[in-house]
Amino acid sequence: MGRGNQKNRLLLLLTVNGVLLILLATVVVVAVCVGKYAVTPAECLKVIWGAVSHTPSGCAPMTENVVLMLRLPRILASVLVGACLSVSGVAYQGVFQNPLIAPDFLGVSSGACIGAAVAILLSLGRGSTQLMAFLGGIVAVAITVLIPIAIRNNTNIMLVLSGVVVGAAASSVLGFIKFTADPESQLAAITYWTMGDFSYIQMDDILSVLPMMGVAGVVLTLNSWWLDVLSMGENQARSLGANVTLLRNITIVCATLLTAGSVCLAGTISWVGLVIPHLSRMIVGPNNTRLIPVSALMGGLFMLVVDTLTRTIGAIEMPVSILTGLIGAPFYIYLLIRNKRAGA
Amino acid sequence: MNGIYELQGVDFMYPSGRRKVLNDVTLSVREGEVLSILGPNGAGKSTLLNCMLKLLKITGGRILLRGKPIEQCRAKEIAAVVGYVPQSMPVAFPYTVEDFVLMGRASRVSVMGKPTALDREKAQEAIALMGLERIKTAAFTELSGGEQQQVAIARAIAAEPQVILFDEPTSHLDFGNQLKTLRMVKQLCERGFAVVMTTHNPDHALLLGHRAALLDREGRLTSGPTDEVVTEEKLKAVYEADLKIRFMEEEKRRVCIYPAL
Repeated sequence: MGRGNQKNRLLLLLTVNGVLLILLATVVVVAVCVGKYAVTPAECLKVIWGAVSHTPSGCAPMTENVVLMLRLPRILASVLVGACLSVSGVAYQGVFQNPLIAPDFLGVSSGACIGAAVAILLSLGRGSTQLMAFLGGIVAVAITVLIPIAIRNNTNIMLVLSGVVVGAAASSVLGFIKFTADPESQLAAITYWTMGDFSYIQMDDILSVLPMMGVAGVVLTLNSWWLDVLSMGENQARSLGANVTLLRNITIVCATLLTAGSVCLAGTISWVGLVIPHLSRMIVGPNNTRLIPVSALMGGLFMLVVDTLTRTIGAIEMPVSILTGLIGAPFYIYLLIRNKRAGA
Repeated sequence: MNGIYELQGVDFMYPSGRRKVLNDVTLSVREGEVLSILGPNGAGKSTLLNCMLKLLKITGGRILLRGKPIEQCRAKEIAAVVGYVPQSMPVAFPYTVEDFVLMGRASRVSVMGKPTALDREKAQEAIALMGLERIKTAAFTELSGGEQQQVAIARAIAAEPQVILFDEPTSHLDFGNQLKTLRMVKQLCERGFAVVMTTHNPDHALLLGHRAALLDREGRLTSGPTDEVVTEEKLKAVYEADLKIRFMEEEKRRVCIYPAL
């Protein structure tokens, strides 16, 4: 009976991942086709096949350009960012044993934003802006992690509180930067960064963060069973024999790399790292070995749908965080209500 | 006589505390025996267990686990010898009973690794031993307190330890379930596990026999055979109440009772 049960669960898991993959592939094709310059699904497939096999696709050069230079990088970026934010959400929630937190904790997003804002203020190029965003994120995490160590109270709660404090301080700094920015050009750019943006992303931008995201994602996937153990809390995990300090640091560093990489690519996008891990948990349960791949797929799918909507529903493009916020905030309230009922 | 634990002159004080919670505690835990640690509320029974698990760092004396000073033991080494059933288990996510018990194998899994087929088998064995097959796919968070405790015991057994530490296993249970838990402790002992259990009910120590230890409010500990440790005189001093110990003919055992109000 046990074996049969296990087989059923494996089958369910394969089905869930398979369905998500097919859905994702379909939405990718749709996303390539829709927009100001319409492309037919047949053209889309031809262009992609042509690019992969290095043969002429037989489509108009304009079509090829739109598909290969504009839409595909953008699609790839949104899928990647959605997947990374979701997986880092899963990791943070596990390591802090708290299903109500998201990558926005630890001050990563706000720190990265400061880095980007400073770069914009100094009129640095796009590459430098990304680098600054990454450094800002890392510095914010370092401060967040160092505060509990400095006051000799290295508990999860202290770490979360420290993240809140760093995030609040970062918001003030960001406010100051905005205040001093040139309202004509810089202010808009900074604001855009804080709201998330997938336009103008080029293949090179993606390739520059891909290795970092890849390594972090693989390490988290390999350590997924340990994330279950870590989510039992420090004392239980330690008494079960886990090297809590090492495992916790690995997890936080990897999750932070995923978040910082996403911010580098597309600015801060809130709520995805909270909503998607929950939805995925509703489908496959809390076991992180199953949860991580499913939430990566769900996150990619969700982000792609949202980004495609933002560039197609209005006359002008909307920042993605507006939509994710509209979806995320009510969902969070729903979670709080559900948690209150389940808990106590 | 092989000692699993040897505690020698152990002191413990919380960093912010003014008094010693554990004061010159000397204690040994031997293979295959039950040790009941008695003491009033707040005397530091849980603190003692936490020190034995190296969850807290002792401030004086030393604790030897299988002859090795505990501060030199890695979490993995401790977990391979010592199973732990905490008093309460706040679990943030609804893991299934199977997943929960499997975590008992953590001391045998490497970093970046996953449990093997053998680990899964041992977890299933522990589930079967505790008679939990019926609920093995249920979410841990939705079980009753008594069931959660049994699952936690299964998790401890899955680790194949030599000794299992129970922190107040009976405190949240009704009378019937208290009795079940005490029987469980006895059975575990018969299966060859040593058991260390904290309780504030002297009768539990009398029921289990073997050895007992009394921890008073000053953090001092007296240990020895239960009959010598759980006496009216000593209980009076520790609990500051006129507890009576009588031999009950019907049950052929010594019982601890309250005086008239």
